[in-house]
This record gives sequence, structure tokens and C-alpha cells, in this order.
Amino acid sequence: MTEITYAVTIIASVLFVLFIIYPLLKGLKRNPESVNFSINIIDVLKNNLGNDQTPESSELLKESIQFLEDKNEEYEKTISGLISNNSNRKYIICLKDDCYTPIKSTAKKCPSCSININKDYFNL
Amino acid sequence: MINKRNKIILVFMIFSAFLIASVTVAADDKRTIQGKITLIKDNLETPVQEVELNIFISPYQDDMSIIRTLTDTNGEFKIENILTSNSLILINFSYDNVDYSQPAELTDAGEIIEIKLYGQKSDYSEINIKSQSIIIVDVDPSNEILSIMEMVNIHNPTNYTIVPDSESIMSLLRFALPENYFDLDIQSSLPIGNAIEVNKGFGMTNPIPPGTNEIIYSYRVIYDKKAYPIDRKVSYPIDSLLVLIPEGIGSVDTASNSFTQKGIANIGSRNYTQYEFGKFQNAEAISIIFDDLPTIGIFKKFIQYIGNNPLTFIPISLGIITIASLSIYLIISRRKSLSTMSETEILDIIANLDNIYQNGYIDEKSYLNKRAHLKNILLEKASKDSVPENEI
Repeated sequence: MTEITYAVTIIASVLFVLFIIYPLLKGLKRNPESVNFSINIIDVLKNNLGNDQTPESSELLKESIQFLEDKNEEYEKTISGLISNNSNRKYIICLKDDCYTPIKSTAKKCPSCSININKDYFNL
Repeated sequence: MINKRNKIILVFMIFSAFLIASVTVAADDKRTIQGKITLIKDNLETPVQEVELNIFISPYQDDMSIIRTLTDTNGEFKIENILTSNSLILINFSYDNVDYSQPAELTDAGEIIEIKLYGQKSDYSEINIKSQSIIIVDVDPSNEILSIMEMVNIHNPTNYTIVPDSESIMSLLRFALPENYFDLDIQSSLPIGNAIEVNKGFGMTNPIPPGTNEIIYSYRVIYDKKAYPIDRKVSYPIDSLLVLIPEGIGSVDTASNSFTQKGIANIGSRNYTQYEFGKFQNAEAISIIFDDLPTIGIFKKFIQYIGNNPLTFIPISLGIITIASLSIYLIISRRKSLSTMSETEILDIIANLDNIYQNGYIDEKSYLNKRAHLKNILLEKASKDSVPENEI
């Protein structure tokens, strides 16, 4: 290769890393699940209901709260059914205090906090 | 004090030393060059008259000098009282469009240097090779380069000097070489001539005087496998073809022309295995396959390539980094987050969490936090369809 070819290759490589690889790696940085800890949505809606609202919006909020409470009840019933279903789970949640990462049954460690996974948890 | 007797002995010793020194100088430095040039043609010897000779005294030395002279009517020449401490001379002259360069050694006895010239013909058909040796001189496994030397004893059985025909380019002394050879070097004992490189070998314009002359040529080739074949057609009949390979470097494959292995030859403190191939007729095919040549692994080749081309390391390493980054990205992107999981999957996780808590594997605070978090994700998913964004 000539010196010009070397120079072009090096410049192209640097630009490739700068504009393709670096943004790609930067984009991989995800917020841990714990950061996304959310406030109970029903409580937020109930709080909003307590504030000054127009009659139309109050009615709408009441409907939404009712919908979510019904949904919550529905979820609890489903959970009760799933509790008794003592089979192989596909996912469990990481048991470390501040980690909320879902862990697949094939994983040996938590992909976020790297703690070892007890395989027995998947059979509970 | 030196007495009278000792004085006489001292004077005698000094005189003897001067005498011996002066005799030695005379014997070593003053020489005579004399010789005779005759032309042999049609079995008749005739003196070569008025040929201009350039005699190089101490050729190849810093103190080299040239003496010019002519042959007389008897074809003789003589130069006396030449002061030289070196006994080697080179007599150069030109006759009938052929340049001759005849080395000779001067002796104290003043021997006559006999130079015989012959009539000329342009017929190469009677030339034969008394012996030819193909020697692997060196193998460079890192670059996979084979250095080969060939020694040819070419014989002109006629009474004529064979010269090239100026009208035909094919009328040359020709030798075949492997394709893609490089670094060709030719040396010979023939009169002066030129070598013309062609794609499949080289030709020589050197005149070939009667008798046997030696031609040595070396070249290098690149081999990319453990075996390297030499295939060529014989240009002149060969009485004996010998192949020499350094011990432990390789061998001759049995798929070559038939040969007999002839033990070990020691040349210059190195042992060579000898392979005798015997006789070859004109236009017969020679096939020699060198086998078991040393090679290096792909990894070592790569490392060596990087060593030879250090700048290529940059794009190569960047390429590796790119591939590694993409692989990591693909692995990570396949991981599921809670927000991308289905409702059923999250519910199953909550049920599992309840069981874990009931079995005492997690403390209450962590359990409640995790359960609330999971439930919130479920409710957020449900609310997206039912509750307008601005109401939350």
C-alpha cells in the first residue's frame, strides 16, 4: 500500500469509530431498572382528583381510577392462579435490593448486577 | 665498547641484509609477460597478427594498471620489466567480433601464455551438458522463498567457437527457469557476452569455445505450499543431472522423474542429500518436485505481516473492535427489559416473587418494593389505552 492509501485507511477508520462505533456504544448505556422506579399510578390519579378539577375531568379521572382498580384486582386473581402453578418459570426478577432486572432461566448471573442465580427460584 | 672483531661481523651482517633484500625485490617485482595467439581453423594453426591486447596488471585491485600492445607477425607479444607484486593478469582482446578475456598467472620462469582461437559457427545443435547440478542454497520459511543455484558444465565438442546468429533471436545459449523467478544472477567462464532475461528463462550471447565451460546461475522463487515443482524441457542433452538439498530442509518427491538417492555430500560445512537423475535427451521433460519444504502457520504469517506492515495494524484492530462491539450490542439488545415484556410474563414474575417471599428467600422491604414496581409497570401498560397522558 502506498502512503496515501495508508492515510486514507487510517482517516476512514477513525471516522468510522467516531461516528458509528462510539454512538452505538453510547446508546447501549441503559438506565438500571431501579432508576425507573415509578410512583403508584392509582395514587397519582387519586391525588389529582383531590385538586381543583372541572366536573368533566373529575368524572374522567374517577372512571380511570375505577378502571385501574378493576384491572389491579384482575391481576391479583391471575397472580393467585399462577402461584399455584409450580412449574418451570421462564423469567424471575433479580433478588438484589436495588436491582429490578428480569432474568431468563438460561442465565447463570444477573446481566445487570452479576450476582449468581439460584436455579431453584425458577421452580417456585 | 665494541671491539674490532665484532665491528667486522656487524658490517658483514648489514651488508648481507642489503644484498638479500635487493635480490628479493628483483625476483618479486620485475616480471615478463609473453604469449602467443593462434587461430585453429580447418585443422590448421595460423598466428593471429596485429591484434590489440589490453593487459590488466593486478586486476580487481586498487593498484590495477593497463598495458596495451600488439601481436607481431608470429602472433606473439612480450612485455618485460613489469613491476608488480601480484602475479595475476587479465588479457583482453577482440577478434572477429568476439571479445575475449583470458586470465593468466605470471611465473618467475617467464612461461609463454598460449591463447588459442577457433573458427566460428552459429550451430548450437552439437552442444551438450556434461553435468548439471540444481542446488537448494537456502530456504526462507517466513517469506516462503527458495534460493536455488544451478551449475552447468556446458561442452562444445567441435573445433569451432559457437557464436550467436545476429539474425535469429533463437540462436542463443538458452536455459529454462521456473515461472515467477526473481533475483537472477549469472556467472560463467565463457568469453564476454550478454544475458537476456525472458519470461521462462534467459539466453546468453556469449561465444562458446571448444571444450567445457562452466555457467553458474542463481535465482529465487516463492513457494506457497510444502511442495514446489520444477518442470522444464531440456534445451541441450544432459549427461548427468544432480539435485542437492540441504539435510533436514526438504526432499525430492517420488512423483518426480526417476532418481536414485546417493548419500550425503558435505559442501562448505553443510550436508546435502544427493539425488541422481541420470541422462536426459534433447527436448525431454524434466520434472522435479521439492517436497517437505518448511512452512509456517497462518497465525505466524499474520503476525509477520503485521510486523512488516505496522500501519495495517490500525485498520485491522479497528475492524476487530467493530466486530466485538456489534457482537456485544446484539447480545445486549436481545435482553428483555420489564417495560418490553408481556403482561403474562410480568404476572408470572410477580407470582414467582410471592413464592420466593413466602419461602423466606427475600426480606419484606425488598419484596414490597419489587412487587409494587412490577404492578406499576402493569398498570402503566393498562393505563396507556384508557387514561389520557395529561391526566396522569
